[in-house]
Amino acid sequence: MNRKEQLEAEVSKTLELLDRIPQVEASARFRAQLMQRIDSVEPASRSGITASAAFSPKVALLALLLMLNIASGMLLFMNEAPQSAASVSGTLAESFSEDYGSPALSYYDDQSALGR
Amino acid sequence: MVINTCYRFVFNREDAEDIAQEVFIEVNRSLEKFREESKLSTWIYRIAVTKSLDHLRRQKRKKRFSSLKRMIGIDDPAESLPAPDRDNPADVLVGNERADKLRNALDSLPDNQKTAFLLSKYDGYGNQEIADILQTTVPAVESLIHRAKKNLQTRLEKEFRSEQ
Repeated sequence: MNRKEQLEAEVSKTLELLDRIPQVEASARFRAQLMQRIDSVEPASRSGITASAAFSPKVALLALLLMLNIASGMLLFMNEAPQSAASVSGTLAESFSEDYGSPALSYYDDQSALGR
Repeated sequence: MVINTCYRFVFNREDAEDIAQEVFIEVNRSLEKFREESKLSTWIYRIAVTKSLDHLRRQKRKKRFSSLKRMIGIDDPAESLPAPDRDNPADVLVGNERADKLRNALDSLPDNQKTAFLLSKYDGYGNQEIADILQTTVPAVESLIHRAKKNLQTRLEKEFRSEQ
């Protein structure tokens, strides 16, 4: 048997190990442990759901953002609400007089009216 | 069948039982999420394969970490624990030099090749079921098995050649 054949024989012998793997039966301990673990996981997960719903940081952040949003909206609305039409027109008139009352624009003034 | 599937990946009965327990717990927990797109058995075997591969990855990480610790001279007390029971007739692949070589060669395979090859070696799975578990087609599974065999042969030949 040459070296290559020898190598191939070793390889196939090694791969044959996989065909010889026996069937494994679940032991009695396995079933008992599994039932115990499932029983212990179930109540924990149930209480975990309620606790996570109550204290979830995501939910808390969302609620905080919503509250901030509502509060800032209300503040803006409350500041704008008292402004009546009269006060708005007053502000506009004041702004106009400031803009056009400067000395640079004084040639617009009616000089004849001043002499009267 | 779940234990046997896990056993084919980890070659250790105790580990296989632990993983199978995790599989059933996961199934129990997420049964509501099962969308009936595949058979229930296929879904369960998919979980078993995923958990087994996760276990192998954890083992690999642990091995790497412990060799690093050995390199820098830190002893791990977990390593001085007794070795698994090698008298267990089911663990034919434990403590066998040839089996160690096989395990190393299997570890070097990509996950999808390893899964397709190991499941094909188990009588309970046909290529269609393997395709369903891997969420791929039958020709793709056949190709994965073919490539896995080729890679294993190359890897094992290299191992035996370096020995001679």
